[in-house]
Amino acid sequence: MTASLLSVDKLDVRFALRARRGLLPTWIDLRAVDSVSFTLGAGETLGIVGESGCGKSTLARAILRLVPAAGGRVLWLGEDLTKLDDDAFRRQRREFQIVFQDPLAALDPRMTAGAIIAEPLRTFHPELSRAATEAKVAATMRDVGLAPEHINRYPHEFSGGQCQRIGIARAIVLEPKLLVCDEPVSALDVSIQAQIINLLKRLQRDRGMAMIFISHNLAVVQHLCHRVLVLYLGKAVELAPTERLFARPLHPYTQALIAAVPVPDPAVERHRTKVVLRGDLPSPLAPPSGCPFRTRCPEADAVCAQSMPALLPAASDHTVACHHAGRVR
Amino acid sequence: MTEPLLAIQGLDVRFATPDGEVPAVRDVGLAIEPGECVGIVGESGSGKTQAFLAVMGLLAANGRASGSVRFEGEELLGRDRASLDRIRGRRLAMVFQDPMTSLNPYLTVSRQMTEVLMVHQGLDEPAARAESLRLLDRVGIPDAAQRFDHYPHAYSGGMRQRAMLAMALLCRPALLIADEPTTALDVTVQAQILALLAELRRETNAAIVLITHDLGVIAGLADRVGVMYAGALVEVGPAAAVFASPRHPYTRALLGSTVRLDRAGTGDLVAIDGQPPNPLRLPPGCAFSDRCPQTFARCLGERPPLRDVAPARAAACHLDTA
Repeated sequence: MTASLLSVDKLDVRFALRARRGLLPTWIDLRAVDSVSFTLGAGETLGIVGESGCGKSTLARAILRLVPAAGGRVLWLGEDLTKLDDDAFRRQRREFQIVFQDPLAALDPRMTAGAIIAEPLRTFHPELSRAATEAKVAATMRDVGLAPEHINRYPHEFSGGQCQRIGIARAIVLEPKLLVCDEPVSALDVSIQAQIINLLKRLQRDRGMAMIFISHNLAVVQHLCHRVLVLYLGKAVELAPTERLFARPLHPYTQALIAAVPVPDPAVERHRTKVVLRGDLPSPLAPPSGCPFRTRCPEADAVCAQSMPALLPAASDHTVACHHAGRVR
Repeated sequence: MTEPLLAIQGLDVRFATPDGEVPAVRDVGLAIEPGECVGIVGESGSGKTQAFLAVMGLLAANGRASGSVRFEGEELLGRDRASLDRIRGRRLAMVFQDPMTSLNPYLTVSRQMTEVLMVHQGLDEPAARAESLRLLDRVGIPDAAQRFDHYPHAYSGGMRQRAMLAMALLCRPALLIADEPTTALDVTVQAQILALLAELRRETNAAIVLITHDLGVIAGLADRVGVMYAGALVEVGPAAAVFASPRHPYTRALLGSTVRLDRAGTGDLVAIDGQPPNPLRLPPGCAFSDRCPQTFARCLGERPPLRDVAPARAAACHLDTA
């Protein structure tokens, strides 16, 4: 395997929450991301999936240092980003960009589309002439499917799908090596979703960018990603190449997650075997002992309550954290 | 021929706004038979929710409905609130997307449920409490007896939606309208709620209108499907037939742009170019004409009506008559 672009090693993110019990305030440690490790190669797309509160967005933000890491390392081309001082980090920052879920909220309403897309250029390339900046902005707008004549419009004059294109244009204008997409299509209608998915796929292919694609929509992740990481309550429970993960999921949570996605075809949907999980996600403030999934797992037994299963290889590039991964299925 | 359970004819919904009158629902006609489950699918702004809020008499103050909505033989449009209240909540119930905003945060779940039975069915409090608790347990609230007197904030999202379903079913309605009942939920919880809806349907034999933007949600449950675009029904038919061989280009495009988990394609999705029209400036012909790959001259000038194209199937497209 070639050297990885990004290597995340036992990354921890904790939030201290103030508890209201008793007279004196006490603090509870919320482990939003708990010792998560993975690597990402150049030009590779990694999907991160899981339900609300599993830590998928927090993990991405910790990699980009938008939230501080409590422990672990984030190696970018061998250099630990968590150890860099602010100036050194800012110089690296142009190499990884992020696209957010809510396209309108992520754009400054008082800036025109052109100014929004040009801002990273002005920050990192102050030497560029006005004409050169404008040419680059127009070319990027065309690349994401926006008409360059709309350069002077404000975000509210665009539809949701077009705003997401502006967000993508801003993220790719510096030609980053890594693009992090945090639920980039979840706020969009199905027909617009398909446009943005096609766009991201083409950009990733044409520019050879690596991508981290965060989504709760498994079908979209399957369509776009080379490998998939499954998170549950802040812990990595399974990591495998996409085809393998969907064909032979080993973790009972991954199996349930895949089974729960309805297929838009009555001929298929009505004959699928459903694994309906019991209950809700436990509170991340009081996670179960041992394996976090054991309270809802159909396979759980005494061992699962005692110790957290380690993430172990089940095949060469397929790792899973389950005491019973060999027995399940 | 006997009258259907719900007969909607020529339903128009318009909203008065500072920019002019916005047509949200245009000439919708649909009949729903007892015990049947009809899925209504469409993207945001397609009018799917407003059409059924009009059925319930729950339009916002600036909204006005015209046409005809007959439920169990009685006209619902134009009724005053008191006479509507005798029907809705009892024979006709609705659950909404966001269960937190539909439950009253100041009242315990037990109080909200028992009130329904005391008002509509004249039960005394102990009887109403017993029946409410039975239903809360039936919809799968864990430790229902303990949670019965809790406030809604103590319930998780999935539990709130279960409580909403229990509340809607208290009076054994003949028709349940479920508006995006699982959209706010995680996928494993969505699977629980959909399984519950299917069970409740078998038990109560209530007809269900399932409004959603998710074709997958409809695929498992609906007998028939209605597809809405820009305020109008563009296709109606049996679910299996509509999914297998859609007649309207919009239905086809919607199915093409949906990513399917069971088809690991890596090719491009069939995206629909452009976006739905602004309801204030609808094109004079077919509302889908500016995005449709098969548009021809007639589509630009003449609006296609919804008409029968095969037994039990209807579509609003000029291609079917060309």
